[in-house]
Amino acid sequence: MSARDSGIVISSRVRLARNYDGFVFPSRLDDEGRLKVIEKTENALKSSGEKFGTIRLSDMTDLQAETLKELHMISDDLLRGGKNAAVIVNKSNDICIMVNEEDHLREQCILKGNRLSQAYAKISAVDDGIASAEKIAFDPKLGYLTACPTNVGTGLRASALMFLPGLGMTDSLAKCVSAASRFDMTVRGEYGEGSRSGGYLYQISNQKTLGVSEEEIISSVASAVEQIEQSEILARKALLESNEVMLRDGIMRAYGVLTNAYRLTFKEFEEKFALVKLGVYYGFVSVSDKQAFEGMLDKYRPANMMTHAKKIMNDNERDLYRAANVAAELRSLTA
Amino acid sequence: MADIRMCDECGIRPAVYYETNMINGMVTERYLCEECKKKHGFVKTSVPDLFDGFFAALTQPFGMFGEPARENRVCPTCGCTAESYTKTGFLGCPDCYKTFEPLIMRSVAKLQKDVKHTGKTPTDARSPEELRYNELLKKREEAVAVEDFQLAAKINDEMKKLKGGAK
Repeated sequence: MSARDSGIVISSRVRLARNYDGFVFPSRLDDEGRLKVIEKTENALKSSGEKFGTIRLSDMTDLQAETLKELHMISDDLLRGGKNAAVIVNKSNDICIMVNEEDHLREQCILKGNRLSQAYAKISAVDDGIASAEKIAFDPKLGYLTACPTNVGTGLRASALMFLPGLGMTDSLAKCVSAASRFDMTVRGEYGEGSRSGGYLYQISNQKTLGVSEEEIISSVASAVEQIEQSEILARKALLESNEVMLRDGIMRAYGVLTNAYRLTFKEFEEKFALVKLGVYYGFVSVSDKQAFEGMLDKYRPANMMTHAKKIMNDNERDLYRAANVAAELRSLTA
Repeated sequence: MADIRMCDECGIRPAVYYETNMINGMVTERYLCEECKKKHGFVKTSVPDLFDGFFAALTQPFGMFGEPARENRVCPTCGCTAESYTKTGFLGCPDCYKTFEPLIMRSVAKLQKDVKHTGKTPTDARSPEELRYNELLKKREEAVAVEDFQLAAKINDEMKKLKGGAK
């Protein structure tokens, strides 16, 4: 299996931090100013060729907010921003702009797979559109001015969400993290600093935003991602060679649980799903529709599952619903 | 817009300085404008060692170094103080970068290992024609808002000329 279709890079995300000139940053902005920032952004996007829709936090249900958070489209910081924060998304949901988060704008593009360059090209075009309509806080020496100097300069954070069970199981991740940090990259859990990665999901992103061009950042993160991907492939090979029987047994037991469990927490689902996904990579498990199979991970996250099911459930109801639906879906995909 | 902190002495001009004093064992703080700073400015504390330690500790959390801050500037635009920046790592507005330049440049150099932007600029996206067009677009909206349709039509003609009749 080539690195391209190995499913190691789950998604690519590029975000640009921007602020409007003449406005204090969101943490010091009053409600009136925050509303103006939302309106300015909506107007600036009108001239772009794409259609965008705004969801204000005040109009958002808790379930909607949590669903978007699980998909990395909005952050805890945005939710803390109160009612006059918003998220503006395009029709295909791959561009989403958080308004009044830490900065006035957090413009992001999230694409499936290893497509950092395309993600940057897409968000940069949106950014150009906004900059052509509104004056952006910019200093010729320091670049784009942001609420925290860790983002000053390009304001660009490029990250790839990677599935790394090989490195995780062979205890090689620490080496990978320290190698990445030498190149000004960070490796963190799926949901950022300190988040747990039971499903072997890690985010690789740039640290430096100043003194390097956008293209240099994208290319350095892409090359770090490629190197980690190659290391992951080698680790998976080593894992198989060291004890195929044990590995295969673990994967098939996980498959057994997912297709037979009566009650399934998300934590257990995430862990077992990672093993089955590894089984698909090795060819121990075959799936008829790879995209649908990969999509299961997000589909059975608590909030996404309730949104999909169109009903609010308590913990116990969720675990029963998840078990029944995961079993049915996985059986049909592997029949 | 955020409230601007006014001078504690005169109450009429925005504060641009912030100072802390130790009086009878109590730490007191005072916001001053440029004028009042000259008149009633910084009074040195009677316990300098304790005071130095207090500010030295404040400048450390974000990896900043250098001499202890004896006076704490206040951003005239948003009221952010150097103290709040060193405590939280966050600035209040784009102008803070000028107000706290030496302090920020030290932390930027340490965090980013660089001090000069080399990437894109907001004007990359804008040609002079586009800038003029956007200006006219706003003027046309204003004219329509006050129902000055004659002016709006005139602006519209100019916009058409700029965009070759596109809009």
